[in-house]
Amino acid sequence: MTTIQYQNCLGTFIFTKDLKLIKHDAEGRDLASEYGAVPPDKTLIPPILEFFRDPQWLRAFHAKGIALAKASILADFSRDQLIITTIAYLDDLSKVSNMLTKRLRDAYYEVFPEPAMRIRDNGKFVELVATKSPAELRDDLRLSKDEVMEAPLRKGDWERLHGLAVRVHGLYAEKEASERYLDALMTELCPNMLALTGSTIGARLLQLAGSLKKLSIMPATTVQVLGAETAMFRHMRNKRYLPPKYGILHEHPAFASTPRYIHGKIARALADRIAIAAKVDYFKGKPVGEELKEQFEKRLAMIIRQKRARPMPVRSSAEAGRKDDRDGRPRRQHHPSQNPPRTSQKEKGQRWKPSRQMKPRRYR
Amino acid sequence: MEPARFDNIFFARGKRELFTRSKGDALFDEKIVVMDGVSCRSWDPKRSKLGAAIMKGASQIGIREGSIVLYLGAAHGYTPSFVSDIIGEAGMVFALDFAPRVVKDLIHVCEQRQNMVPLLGDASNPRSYLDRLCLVDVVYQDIAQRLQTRIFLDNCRLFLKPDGYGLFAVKARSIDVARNPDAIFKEVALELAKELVIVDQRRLDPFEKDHIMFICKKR
Repeated sequence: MTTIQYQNCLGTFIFTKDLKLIKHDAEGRDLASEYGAVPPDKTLIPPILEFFRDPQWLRAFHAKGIALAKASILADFSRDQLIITTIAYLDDLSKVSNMLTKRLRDAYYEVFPEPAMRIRDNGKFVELVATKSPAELRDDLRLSKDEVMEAPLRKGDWERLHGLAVRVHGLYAEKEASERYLDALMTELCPNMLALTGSTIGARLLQLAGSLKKLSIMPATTVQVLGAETAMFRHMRNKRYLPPKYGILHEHPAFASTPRYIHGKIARALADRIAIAAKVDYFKGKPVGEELKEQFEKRLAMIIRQKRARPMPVRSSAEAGRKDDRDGRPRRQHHPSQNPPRTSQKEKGQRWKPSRQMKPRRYR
Repeated sequence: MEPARFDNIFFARGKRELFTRSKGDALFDEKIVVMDGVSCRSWDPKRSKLGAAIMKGASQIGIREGSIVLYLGAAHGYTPSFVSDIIGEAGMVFALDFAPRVVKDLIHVCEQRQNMVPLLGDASNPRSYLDRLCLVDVVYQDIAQRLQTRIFLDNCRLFLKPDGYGLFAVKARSIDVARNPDAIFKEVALELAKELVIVDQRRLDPFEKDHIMFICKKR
């Protein structure tokens, strides 16, 4: 008589042809040869699954399910998640430390305005007021006691003010330590992306993608617009809106010194290289970061060289009178309702309605 | 507090609030109301599409005391915890999600409920979690995937017993952000009708925008 062997998370089960349980092995050993059992064919799967509806097995599923889920969560951990938490932490840190520095300056303006007035740099100001007493501060600023507008504060008042200063100073130290930590993580996990983008942009790309794995399987065009999702989806909903050309990549230094009308090209070239770098990082290939950086810089130089070849701006009569702040390109039509397209003679009588079928407007 | 027509579900304040009979533990900081020795847990239809469908007057939900439910797209376990209230001790919810982040919360909920099992897996590949569950009375799906209809049908084919119910929350925007939701719902209904019988459908606004709940029965 042939028997059937079925294996699941509860172990190995040997059934007869009419699905009577002969043997259950909780360890999950393969008993096929011992019982001469065959795996179930497709038609037998539903009745076998029906068998496990018994309360006894349901309780076992509960215990086993929790254990398995915990194990697979642990197995799923990867260190690139640390980069994402660190960059999020850094964002919050700088927000909080800026806010509290402002508070500290305000407090000092009330009672001892000189350091707050004269030291413009936030980091320096916080460090000084955190580490020095009012008398030392006065000496530092080369002011005599009569010259400063120091309010007559009691000891307890100074203690609280100094307490705030020490806290904020601690935040700055924490920020520096986290930045170093982020650099270390990036060097360890994404050396190639680090070479191309620097740690902040690299980490932010990871944050937007969700994980290094996800970033590595993204096409370059998706990398190019990471961080510009709002604009991208607006464009997808309604083609009258132009698609974004760059997202978070725009923080890369290559964009700062170049004219705006070539930024799209630069973003494309950069995203292209980053997509390769991310793949190499994920699969731990041999380092290509410097090589990619060189290729990008070469391409960048070429784009800058070619910029003279851009076509002369085409301007419609409606735009001729407007101030041109867009490097000679025709003005972008921001919203269809504010800026209806010119209607032909035939359509002139009809009211213009935005239409999703309309072709995307391109730069000429 | 008046009982709804489903097991263990109650309406309150003239059908403006929803409650389930519960053991008295607030898993998500909900309001707990004790009525005649029965403690009831408040169920927010804005956070739960099943709750929204009931508020919108769904004629049947198929989930009753003792049901075994496969819940796809369990997330933090908010709705599954109410399903676990409805089915009581004799039933079982197999709650599946594919994001490790939310499954951590889900495990926490499951550890406090004897009738919930967490599954970490991808709903679009039902065979990958075939070894972790049994045939079920109800398949409930609420996932934001482009191919959600096919995923739902695949799971119903494999795990739903004959005459079992399939509850399917469709998010039009994840099938296509640009198209008209009504057209999408029509298409989904046609596709569902090939294999299942649609017994009821409810738009979920104002609780959820551009969502619909299909309640189907397996032939």
